[in-house]
Amino acid sequence: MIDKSKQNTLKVCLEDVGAHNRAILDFFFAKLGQHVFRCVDTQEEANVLLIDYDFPPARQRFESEYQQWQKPALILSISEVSIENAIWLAKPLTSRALLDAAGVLQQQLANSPQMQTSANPSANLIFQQSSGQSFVATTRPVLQRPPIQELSAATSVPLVDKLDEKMAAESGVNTQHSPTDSGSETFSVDTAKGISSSETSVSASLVDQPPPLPAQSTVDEPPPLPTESEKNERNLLLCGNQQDLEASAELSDDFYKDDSFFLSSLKDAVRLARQCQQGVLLNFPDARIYVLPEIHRIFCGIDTQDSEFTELISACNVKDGGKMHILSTREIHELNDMISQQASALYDLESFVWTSTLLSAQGSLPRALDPGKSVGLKHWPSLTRLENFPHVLPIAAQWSASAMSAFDIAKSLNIPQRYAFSFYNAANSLGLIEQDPDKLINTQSAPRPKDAPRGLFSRLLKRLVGG
Amino acid sequence: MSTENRKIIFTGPVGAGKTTAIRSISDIDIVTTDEQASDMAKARKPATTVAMDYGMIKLGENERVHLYGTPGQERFNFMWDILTEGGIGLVLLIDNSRKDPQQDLKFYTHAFKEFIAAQQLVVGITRMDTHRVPNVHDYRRWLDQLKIKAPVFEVDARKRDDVSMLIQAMLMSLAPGAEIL
Repeated sequence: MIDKSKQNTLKVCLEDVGAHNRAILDFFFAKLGQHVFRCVDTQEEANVLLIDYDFPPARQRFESEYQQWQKPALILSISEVSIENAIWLAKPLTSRALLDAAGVLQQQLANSPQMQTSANPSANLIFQQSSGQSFVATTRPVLQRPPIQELSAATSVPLVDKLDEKMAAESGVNTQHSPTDSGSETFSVDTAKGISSSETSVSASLVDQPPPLPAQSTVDEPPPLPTESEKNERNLLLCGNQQDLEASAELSDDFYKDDSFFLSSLKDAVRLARQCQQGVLLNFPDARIYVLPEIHRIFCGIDTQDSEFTELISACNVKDGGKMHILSTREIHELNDMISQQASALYDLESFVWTSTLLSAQGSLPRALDPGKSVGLKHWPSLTRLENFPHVLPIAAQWSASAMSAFDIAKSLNIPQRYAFSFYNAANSLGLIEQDPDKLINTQSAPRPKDAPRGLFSRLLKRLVGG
Repeated sequence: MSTENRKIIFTGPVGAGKTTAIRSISDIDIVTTDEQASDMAKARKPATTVAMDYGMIKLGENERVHLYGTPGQERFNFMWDILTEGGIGLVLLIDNSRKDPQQDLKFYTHAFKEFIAAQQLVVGITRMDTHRVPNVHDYRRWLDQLKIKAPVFEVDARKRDDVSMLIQAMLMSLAPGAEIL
């Protein structure tokens, strides 16, 4: 037990802690931990750092920044972490573990005032805690991250828990944790303090944290620019080559192309991941797609620029899988390893959905989207991170300015309809299209200058695009 | 023949990448007024802009687009009105690694409220490669709450293409359908 009369409040700064985990910790600091911890805003004020080691890019930042701060740290992680001057707290985190660690830190700080400002090798007490075990103090002066293993053919594809598979087969979508999940061991704060069930359920995200990302401290080398013919070929794949239609003509069934099985499965997986704010694995025989909502990423081993990806989109069907489930702890570990070895397979979530939609439709529209109906663009897509195709920027600007139909967009910009259809479809997949223009936020509070210098704008645009 | 001059303003908190962004697209070596940081800014970078940054894009003999970066610290906000006068748009860069990016967004959109209402705002989120939360969707939601409609892009201020895309979006928003001559 912590002797409250003797303790000094630990000034703790949270670093690389996701919004959900931060909320849980804030709750803890406000209740059970209020006499022990005081959360501060900056590392300068803090005498203890609390770092979620599973949160990207905590590992990289630890090596480049946190160690230089030379302050003791509490490290939260699923897997064991042995670092100088740090105490590892295993997830799922318990209030008891936090309080016990605080007690140790307080004692250290009381005995060794210098520890606040300098890393003291003699005080390198590393504590390991596992469920049901007491602290064990050892001295480990060297940073020991879990080794990155060469993936063998047997381990490169994570094995899905059989129970998961069974449940997935039965229900199509499995939202339960596998038995290997430690999600059932939630943040077990004193129930006498009245923590709500919603708060305890949120704490599962402490377990299923997404894996770390490689930090980009330098500007990436730009890939070689595609040739004109390569660009045309890619645009053909993304937007097809359909001829324009008469807006007044009756659209035949051939015009429409509903979402491929791949795309509808992907959308379901993204929806599920966002709802539960946990990683979801979408499982196809030839590809495993990990949706990671906390970091807004998707991991897919197949390059979206590769023909194999296009084939996957067009070929897979309901017989070939498309089952999904929330990632188990074991799968998160496996994913960590895969990301360490193939960081390029990590895509921005919106970018992956955008490209998948374009490749799936190739300039067509699903039946649910009427090209003659006036709709609005709620928000611009983040075009710096999405795969571009001809006229994408003018389309976004035009649609953002006023609600129009896809036919009218193409007509007003004097561009082939397939580009307007492609934008409509992909933006809709990202939830950026408002079918009811009356619901669009009216933001214009002052009249825009009517005499926009279009000539100068045009010349500046030309300059910016490299003309 | 007289020279036509236009202005684009870059603003945002200390360390968001304003100087870097201007450097990425300027045709001239930028003029910057960096000084040794002596306050909170020091925690984020050793030198910071105290008056303004200046760059320029030349369009032929008689047209210039001037690029001005505001100092990030709030105590220099008396300069902001001066800098924005006659500007065609505002590039707001938000550093996603800061403690409360939502507050930063609120602060700067409020500070430039009248200019944003009359001209065009574009928002670039920097350091998103290492700090994935909040994400672009969160920023869109926050802008909705502020009743501001503006493109929001993830950007790397060091990449010319990213900064260029922000400005293109600004120009296209001001004049939808503008052709690239």
